[in-house]
Formats: sequence, C-alpha cells, structure tokens
Amino acid sequence: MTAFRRDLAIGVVLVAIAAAVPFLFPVRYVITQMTLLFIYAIVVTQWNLVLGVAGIFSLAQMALFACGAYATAMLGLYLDWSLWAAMPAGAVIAVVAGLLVGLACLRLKGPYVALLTLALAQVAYLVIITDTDCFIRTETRCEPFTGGASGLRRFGDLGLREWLGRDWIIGNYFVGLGLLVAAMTFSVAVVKGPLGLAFRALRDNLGYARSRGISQFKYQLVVFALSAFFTGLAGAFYAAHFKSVGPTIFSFSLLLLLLAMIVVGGLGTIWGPIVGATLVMFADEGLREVQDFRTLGLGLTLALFVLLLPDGLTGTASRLLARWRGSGS
Amino acid sequence: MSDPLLSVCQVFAGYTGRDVLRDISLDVHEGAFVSVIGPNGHGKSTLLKCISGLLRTGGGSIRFSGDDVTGLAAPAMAARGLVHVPQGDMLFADMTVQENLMMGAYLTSDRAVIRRRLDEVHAILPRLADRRQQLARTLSGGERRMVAIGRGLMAGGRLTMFDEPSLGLAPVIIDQIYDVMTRLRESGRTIVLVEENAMRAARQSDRMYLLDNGAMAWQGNGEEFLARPEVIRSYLGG
Amino acid sequence: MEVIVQVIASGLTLGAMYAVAAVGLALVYGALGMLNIAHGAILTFGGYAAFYVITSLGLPMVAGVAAAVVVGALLGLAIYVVLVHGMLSAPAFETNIFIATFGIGMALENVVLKLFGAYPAAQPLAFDGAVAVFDVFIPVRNIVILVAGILLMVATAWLLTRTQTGNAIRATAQNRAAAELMGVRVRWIYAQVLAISGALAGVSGIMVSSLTNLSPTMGGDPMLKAFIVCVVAGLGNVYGAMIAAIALGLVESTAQYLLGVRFGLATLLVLVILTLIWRPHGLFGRTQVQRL
Repeated sequence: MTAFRRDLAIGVVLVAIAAAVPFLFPVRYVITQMTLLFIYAIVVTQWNLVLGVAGIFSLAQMALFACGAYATAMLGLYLDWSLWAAMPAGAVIAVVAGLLVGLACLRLKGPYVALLTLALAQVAYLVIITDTDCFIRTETRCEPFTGGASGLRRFGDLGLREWLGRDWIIGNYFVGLGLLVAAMTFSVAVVKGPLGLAFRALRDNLGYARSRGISQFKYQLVVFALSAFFTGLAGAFYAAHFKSVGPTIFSFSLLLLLLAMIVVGGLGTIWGPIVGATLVMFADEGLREVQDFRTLGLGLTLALFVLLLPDGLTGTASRLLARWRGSGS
Repeated sequence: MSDPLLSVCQVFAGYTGRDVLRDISLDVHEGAFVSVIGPNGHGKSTLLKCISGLLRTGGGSIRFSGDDVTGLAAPAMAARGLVHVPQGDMLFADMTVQENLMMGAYLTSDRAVIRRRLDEVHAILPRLADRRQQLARTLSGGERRMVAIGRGLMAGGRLTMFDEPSLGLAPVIIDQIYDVMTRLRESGRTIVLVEENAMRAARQSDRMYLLDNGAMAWQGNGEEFLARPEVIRSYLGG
Repeated sequence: MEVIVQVIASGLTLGAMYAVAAVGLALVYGALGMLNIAHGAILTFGGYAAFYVITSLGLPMVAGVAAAVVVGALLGLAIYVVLVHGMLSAPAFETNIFIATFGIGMALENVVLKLFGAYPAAQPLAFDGAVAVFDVFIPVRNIVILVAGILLMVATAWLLTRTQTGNAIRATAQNRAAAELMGVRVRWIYAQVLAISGALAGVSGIMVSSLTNLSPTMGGDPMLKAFIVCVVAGLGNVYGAMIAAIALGLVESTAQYLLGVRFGLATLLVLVILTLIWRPHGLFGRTQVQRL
C-alpha cells in the first residue's frame, strides 16, 4: 500500500467516524465541543505547515484567525453581509494580513520572527481591548468599532436554523467538518507536493536551497498566505458558529492549547496535528474537574513532550513502527 | 626509553557513521616535536579533535601522562595540560587581544605565573604587545594566527598541538610562524604540529606521521622522510 | 519644559526597568542561543517573593530584595537542570526550548495564581513621596528604579568584563568550542548564566510591581518589551540591550504623551519593524556570512 493510499484510507475512516458522531451522541454539548475541535484542528494543521513544514517560527497564527473572525463579524454587523459571503471575504482579509506579516518577517531569522509575530499579535490584542470610542450607539449603550473588551455580537449566523430547525447545530457541525477536510487535503497536498519539497529544503539547509534557486522570499510569502486562508476561514466559521467574537481568542492560554496540540501530535507530521488536537481536547474535557490547574497541566505537558518526545506521538509511533519492521524482516 | 607523554592507540573516529580515522596509533614523548602530515581532508584535524576531547572517538584508547583519558571532554583535557590551537584560530572575536590571551590562562589562578607567561608570549610574538587593546575581529589574518598561538602558549600546557598554523597566510608571515615554531622547539616544549606542507615540517620534526585517507601510511623521523622522495611523491603529489 | 521633564523622567524609569529585564534575556540568548519565554514568569515570582517575605513574614525590605534574587536565580537554575541540560545536544534546540519555556512559563504563572490569587496586590517594597525637578514632581519610586537599574547595569558590566566567570561567559557566547579548549566547563557556565538572568528577572519583578501592582500576569508586558529591546539591539547583545532599553523607554513615554497610552506599544512596534527591515540583525547586530 502506498503512503498516499494509506493516508487516504485513514482520512476516509476518520471522516466516517466524525460523520457518525452527531447521530450516535445527539447531545448538544458533544456536538458543540466537536465543532470547536474541528475549528482548532484547522488552525493547527495550518500552523503546522508554517511551523513544522516550512520551519518559520510564526506565533501570529491566532492573530490571523482573529482577522478572519473579526472581519466576518464586522462585515455582517456593519454592512449587513450574509455570513456565507462574509466568511470567504474574512479569509481573504486574513490572507492579506498574512502577506503583510510575511513581508515584515521576510529578512528575519527564526527567533526574530517568533518575537515579532508574538508582539504583532499582542499589539492587535491591546488595540482591541483598549477600544472604547463609540462607533455605533444603541438605545442602551455604545459599541466601539472593534467591540472592545467585550467583543462583537448580533451579526447574524449561517441561517441553518430556518432550514434545519433545531438541528441547525448539526448543520454547523458538518460545515466545520467540511472545512477541516478541505484544510487537511490542502495541507497534505502542500506536504507531499513540490511546494513541500521546497519548504523542506529551505528549512534543512537555507543556504544550499537558495543557491539552487529556491527563493526564500517567494516561498515564505506563499506559506504565510496559503496557511492564512484556511486559518482565516476557521476564524470566520468560529464567529459564525458561536455568533460572537471577542479578544479572548488572542489569549496566551489558547495559544498554549494549540501549540500543545501540535507538539503532542508531532510537529511537521501529516496526522500529528489532528491526533494532537483530538487528544488534547479530550484530555482537557476529562480534566474539567480540576480546571484550576488546566494551564499548569497544559504547560507541563508541553514542556515534557518537547523534552522527552520531541517528535510527538505520531512521529515517535512511526519511528517505532519503522524499527519494528526493520527488526522483523 | 621512558613512557610517552601522549599515546594514541588504535583510534577510530567519524562523523555520523562514516569513518574519518581508522586504526590510528601515535606516540609523543616529552620534549619531542612530532608532526602529522598528509593531504587536506584526510583526518588530521579530526585526530587532533579526538585527542583534545572536542570529538568522541569511536574505539581505541588515548593515554596522557600515564592516565587513560579516553572519552574525556575538552575542558578536562585542558585541565590536564593538553593544549589544542585549532584550525581557523577560533578566536573570541569581540574580545581584545589581551583578553584572548588571558582566556588562554583560564585555568591558571597564580597571577605571577600568568604575568611571566604573558611576558614570554610578548617576547616570542612582539606584535601582540602592540595590539593589546585591539578587538580580535579587527586583526589581520597573520595577527589572528599569532593571537591563537599566543593564547595556546598562555595555558602553559605540557603538550601543545598546532593545527596547520601556516594555513592561508602570506609566505612572509608563514616564515614568521615557522620561526616561532623553531623557538618553541628550542625551548624544549612538547609539540604536535599538523601540517600540509611536509617539507617545512620535516626540517623541524623528531618524528613524522603521514596520514592518508584516514589511516597511518608511514612514520619515521624527519631525515628519513627527506631521504625518501617516493613517499612525498606518492602521497603528497611531489 | 515641564512636559519634557515629565516625559524624560518617565521614559528613563521605563527604560531602566526594561533594561534590567532585557539584559537577562540577552545574556541567555548570547550564551545559549535560547529565548527564555519563562522569563516573564520568573519576574512575577520575584515580585511575589518580595511581597511574601515583607508582608506575610514581616521581614525588612532588604530581605525582600534578597528573596526575589534567590527565587529568581533558583528558577533560572531549575530551567537549566530540568530542560536545557537534556535538550542542548538534541536537534532543533532553538525551537524546542522556546516551546518548552513557553509551557513552563504558563505553568509557573498558574502556580502564582493558585498561591496568591488573581486579585492585584500592592508591592510593599516601594517608596512614597516625590522630588521636585525643574518644578516637576517626580515620584521617589521612579528615581529609586532608575538608580537601581543603573547600579544593576554597572554591576552586570563589571561581572562580564572584570571577573573570571564573566570572561568565561563572554568567551562561551563568542566561540563555544574554543572556550572548551581553554578549559571552560561550558555547561556549568550555562547554568550560571540562567541563574544570573533569573536573579535579574527577580529584581525587575520588584521594579515592575512597585510602579503598577502585583498580579499573576504582570510578567507578560515587561517581557514583551524586553524582547522588543533585545530584537532592536540584536539578540544576545548585552550592551546593545542596555542602550536600546533606555531608548525604547524614552520613545514609549513620548509616544504615550503624544498619541495616548493606547498606541504607545503600537508605535513602538512599528518602529521595531522598520528597524528590522532596515537592519535584520538589530541595530548593533552583525550580519553573519553563511558558509555552505
């Protein structure tokens, strides 16, 4: 069985399982959390492309996510756009933002990129939470342009309620799943395709890759832009699904959660982000009882994985498998 | 004859699995001037790195001053009095000449001893006295080499290894470097010299080892080497 | 005139504060090539250590400072022992240590939250009153921060250039293999550098909290500023970081005065990005020629 067929088979099985969940467990909470899992998984697969495949240490992923989410909310709120139109527009705006971030980081080396992108995200956060100037005035209070610390609300939804009634949430669930499948297909195509080869060359030996005519300039921009599209789309869907968006999506603890998903699953691997997102999400649910220690647990998990299993679960598993096969033959 | 100060016995070494050194044995006696010659890229620098502990050996043993020192790390070897003046100088670029020299005496705490060694180094390499406060990165290639040699001498080691001290220098400067080598030899120091230019090395050496493709191809003293032109021709291309 | 004095005074105070936090980061990056994201959490621990010793144990202020230094140094040392020592020789150290210290930093912040609660507390180690300079009243605590910052910078410079340990630290940062050949036990130097950096972070925790308040997340903002300072100076450049910290403090206070608090950081960042586009290795950094 070729690697491609194996990946395809895994994908089909996973999608089938995911599609069965809302019918096997028709509980609103489960469906909501699974939808959130899909959203996070999209972000994580795209971040993995930037971080693990292209080797660019950007921490601006959640800022791009926020771009998509805020843009969608604002288009719905201020221009009365249908969210179905606002979502792709939000994704495109995230792509523009990604291009700008890419341009700013173009000539920088790893740690500088990390710090600059972290600072950019932080500035966006600060500008939003300190926004108190009235933009629109309702009867009760005034709303700032970005929604300020409390965020934006009442900008519409995907409109599935009229069509599916009480099952609108299942409709959203499948929209999320569809987006994840699209994002996943895209990231597999990147990893396996010529683009992935170029990224790998740039990461492993920058100087040599450059001398072979692979332009860092071009490919860095391509990574930022392409990963920003699905990340922005995930943000847009987040806004549409929860019907609200606020500055909490910039929080360090969310960044920590997503980073833990990548590292637990395996940085730079194809299935790692999905595996990691699922495991971390389930572990997080299981530990709801001791939620006070959530950050402590996540932080230590992250550090321990980097220290003891730097290839993550999928990376380590495939290495063990290869060794087992090697000794068997 | 007394036991050698340094004794390398059947050492293997390599980077990621590929052997760069195969079955290398070599002895250096107290007060001797030993040179290791051979074409570029045939393991001479690797051999020095294995001895000084910068690289791990992949088999064989190394004894220094009667003790088994196989597998000791570089700082431990330095503490035992083994000095390695590496190829490419490896100076502390943002430190002054004086600070670089003082780093050479890092393990010595007796100020009087340091003072005496510094005077000695300045006597052998007077240029360094003039350049005292200059940053290493602003020096010329020849001056850098002198700082590297001086820094090695500041350690006051029992055995000093020089890795191609003439590499990449102008002929006039090379002559100066070799004058320094001659003075060090005459002062009775124990020296291992790695050199590509075999003829220059031969004139100084008590013993010579020819390293070819990671293995020891020939050994003998300087006069024997000069009397065997076929060795020179076959390994070093005339 | 009064405004200028005011802006300069607050800029110098901010600068001194950033300098103490940034120098620790720069030392660690210079010697080990690692970005320590737990630096902010160590800073928070330092502030709370002083608070605990003075408020809860009733000990004098000097003991508070000592506690911040010791706690900071121990945390730095712990990061070396637990994380750095095992990861140094593994591949992708730079990326992995960044992620690991991010995790540890968040965990430590959670510990502070559990120990002291989420509510901001006042730093007892602070001085009241004000002094008139050119008819402008400047709080004594600002002056104390400035003086303490300058003293710490001088002490750090002295340590780096006049002591055996300092020479070994600089040598290790400039050429690790050569330092080993001189007999420097590089890993021991790394442990010391992290401890020194932690101690500096502990003290800067007191400074930061005496201007604002103690809170579990107080380390985030000064750490971000310290990172910006390091990036502008060129990562790992200790003296550059000192200068850049003062400069950025002045720029920030000017921007805050002209544009309001809200856009102070944004302005700072735009300046940083422009600086980096102009000089990708920072103001005082050197471009390294890459060999193939």
